[in-house]
Amino acid sequence: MGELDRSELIEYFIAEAEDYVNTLSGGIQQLAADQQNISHVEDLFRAAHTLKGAAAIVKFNTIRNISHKMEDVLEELKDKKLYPTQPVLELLSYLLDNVKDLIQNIAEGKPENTDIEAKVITKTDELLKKAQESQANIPGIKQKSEHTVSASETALPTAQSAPAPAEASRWGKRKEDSEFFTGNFIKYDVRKIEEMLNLIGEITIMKNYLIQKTKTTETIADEIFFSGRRLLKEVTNFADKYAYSLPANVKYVDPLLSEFGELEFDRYDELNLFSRKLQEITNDINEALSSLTDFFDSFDIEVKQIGNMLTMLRYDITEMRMLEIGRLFQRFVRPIKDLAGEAGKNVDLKILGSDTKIDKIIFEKLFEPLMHIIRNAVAHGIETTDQRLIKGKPAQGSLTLSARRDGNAVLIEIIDDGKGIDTEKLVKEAVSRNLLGPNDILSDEEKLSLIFVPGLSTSSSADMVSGRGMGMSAVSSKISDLSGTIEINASDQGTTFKIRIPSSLAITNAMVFMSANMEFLITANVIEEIIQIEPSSEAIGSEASTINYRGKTIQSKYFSELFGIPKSPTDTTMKFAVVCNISDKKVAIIVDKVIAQEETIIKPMNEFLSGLYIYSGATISGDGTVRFVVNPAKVFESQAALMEFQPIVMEKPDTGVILVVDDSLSIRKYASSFLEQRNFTVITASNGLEALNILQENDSINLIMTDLEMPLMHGYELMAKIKENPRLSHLPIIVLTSRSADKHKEKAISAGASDFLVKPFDENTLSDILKKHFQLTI
Amino acid sequence: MTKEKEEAGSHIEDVTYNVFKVGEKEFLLPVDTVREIIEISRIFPIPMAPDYIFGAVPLHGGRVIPAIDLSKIHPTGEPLYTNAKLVVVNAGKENIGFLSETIPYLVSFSPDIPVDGLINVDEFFETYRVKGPWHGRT
Repeated sequence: MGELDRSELIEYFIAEAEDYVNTLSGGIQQLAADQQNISHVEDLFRAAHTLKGAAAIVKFNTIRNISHKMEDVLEELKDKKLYPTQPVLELLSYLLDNVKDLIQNIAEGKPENTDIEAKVITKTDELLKKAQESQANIPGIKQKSEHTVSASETALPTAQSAPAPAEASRWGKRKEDSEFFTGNFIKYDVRKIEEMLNLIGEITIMKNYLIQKTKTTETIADEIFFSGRRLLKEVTNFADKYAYSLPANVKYVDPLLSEFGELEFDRYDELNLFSRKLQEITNDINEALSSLTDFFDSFDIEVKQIGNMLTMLRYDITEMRMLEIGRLFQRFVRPIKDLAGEAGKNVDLKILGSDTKIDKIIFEKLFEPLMHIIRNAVAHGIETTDQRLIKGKPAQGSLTLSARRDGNAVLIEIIDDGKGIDTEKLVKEAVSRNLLGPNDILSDEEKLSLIFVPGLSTSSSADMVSGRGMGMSAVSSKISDLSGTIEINASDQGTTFKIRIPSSLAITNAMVFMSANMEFLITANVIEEIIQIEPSSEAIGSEASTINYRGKTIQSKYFSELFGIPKSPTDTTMKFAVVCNISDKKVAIIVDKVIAQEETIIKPMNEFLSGLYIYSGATISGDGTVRFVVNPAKVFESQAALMEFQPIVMEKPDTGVILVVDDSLSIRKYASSFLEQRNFTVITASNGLEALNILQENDSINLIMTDLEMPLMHGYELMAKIKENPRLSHLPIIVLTSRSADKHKEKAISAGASDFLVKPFDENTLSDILKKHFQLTI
Repeated sequence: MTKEKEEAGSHIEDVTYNVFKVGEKEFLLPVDTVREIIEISRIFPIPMAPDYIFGAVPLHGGRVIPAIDLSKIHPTGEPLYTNAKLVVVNAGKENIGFLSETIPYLVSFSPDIPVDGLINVDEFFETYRVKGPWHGRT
């Protein structure tokens, strides 16, 4: 069945078998301790069964046959045809011991010891017969008490087994289980690895933070160094200047010195000594600073070393999560055989590159989509032998599963030599569903990619084997969820699916780009090429835009536009088109700047934000910045489809635009928040003149709220100007003032104010006034 | 029997809430839903998120959680987030954070006292979970 390296398979087998053996030996001991409790016999039966299957794959027929015997006995126990009496348990232990010995031999690199098989089987049959006979003699009613008795009997030797090795061997404890196999494998919870990676991510961020802090400290040290030098210079100057020009009237405290004349002795007064001291201290500081600099130099190197070690650690831990894809391919062997058998087809399965490693998480998620493609290939792709012979193809159909590493990605190919895909049927279906016009001309490639359109199928009725239609679009979306791409090639000579998937989810190679002044990432494996495009290019900014890529027209989108930021026509900076592969189609995302390529840990989006599906995840950069990973496939989903997913958020109805004029900032703020809460748009001005300017430029204002006393232009003047202007004269004006006198109110009303409010105003009164003007319930 | 019940009722333990403030309003969270309260050093914008999501905050373990601004959902008056804290809550397997102007404090009430401003985290999560990109945000 192909090129799976047997020795590696054996390693897996040993690791796997250890589990089953442990389950079995633990279970048999448990049975011995409590024969009444046979609830876990089911588990034991399954363990024996799986062990048998695993042994069969690596062709360890003796282990397979002995496990099979074990399975038989356990099945009878399970079905209550046999009871876990001592002879039965002894038999099971005997079988398990033999299996252990066989596996031990294999683990030591020796071939399977097939000699013992006949002996073991014969002995088993004998023991089994005996056990059955002895149980047949027990009348049904007595059975229970019999078992209770034997339970207490058998429990004793087990409890005393430790000091008596001969006794212990009966319960499969002849060798310490912990050192049973010599293989170097342990089993470990993947989630723990995830936690470790998280920690490493955090340490990495901390390390980068540390490096940044070190730089800051170095700058501070430089400043101190510089200041110290200045101080030293000043002190030296000072000392030079005054050292020998001491005032004559200085009284020397030391009577000894007073005997000397001016030039006879270098006299040191307090000042002199002080300057000398200062010099010394400054020198000391400089000295200390220079050793600090040395420290930082080496510290920097050491932190960087930590960085390197972290990277290595991250790689190693990531590696722990990697599995050989061969193990995944193995899971298809059986279903393919069964499927081919049912359909009466003869299929030869080839497996290539099974040692290619892939992240455990991806591994699990690949099973379903691959299974789907494989089912399709066997059920619909490969013809029956008769049909094949008519077409002149070899009688036996061939299906190849291959994997190989391609940079940071893994390329998986599923190749069959069947009849390919009926593209005409796809086109017909697409036309009948109005997805295509009847006269649309498609290239062969485009026709093929219709298979990824939800609901389109080549088979008229869905069958049991493969759902069809919906399936391929689901496959494509599953692959895209894994940041992978899928391509299809088909002719009447066969179909090839190419799936490119990142080999690890933990560390992803991604391209960092900048758009709308923010950094985003696109995983490198979907990127075909990055090309520079002319700023004047029509591709940028238009709705249904395209660019020319290697002689082909491909769909493009200006990334910032997604956020409602259209490209400014005056923007003349060079843009970049990131050409991506999505479901067998190339598209270009136009970005402002390509920054770097980096290896990063991508976390899935927070569930709360998962509706923002143009992002497939988030990552934290070295300096702690959160950046989102863009899923190019979703960027190109039709705008209409995206719009259907409008969030439920209350889009605030715009009740009206109000201009608030007041020289007091707090009143402006207070009025704004009061009005905005009631869904008004608020524009503010701090005096009449500013308000007038705004009114002249802005047609949308529905109402004005103004103070009376303001600098530059007061409220009365503002009102007069508004009433003079025919365009503005209709606007209602609410006067808001601290002047409560009727004189002011009368003057304001006569100047054109529709309402008069005295500060501090009552919110309800203002609400009522607004209701009046906007005829609504607020 | 009824009397016994009543007596038992009066001895029911008080319910403790975490109280935090946004604008002029106080919100309450059942204390067991609060995972931690963190200082926010930086909040990062999330393009296309609805306006009640203030931004993204990195959490331990490299995860990123949304910081929710309740003033965009409830009338609270203008919030003052200059020294905002993030109240991180457990919602199922996920975590989300609410911005708070102040360090939250604990209060206990008898369970029969109706409380105002109580947030049911799971319900909130379901109601306000982002259902799709928010286009044309100004």
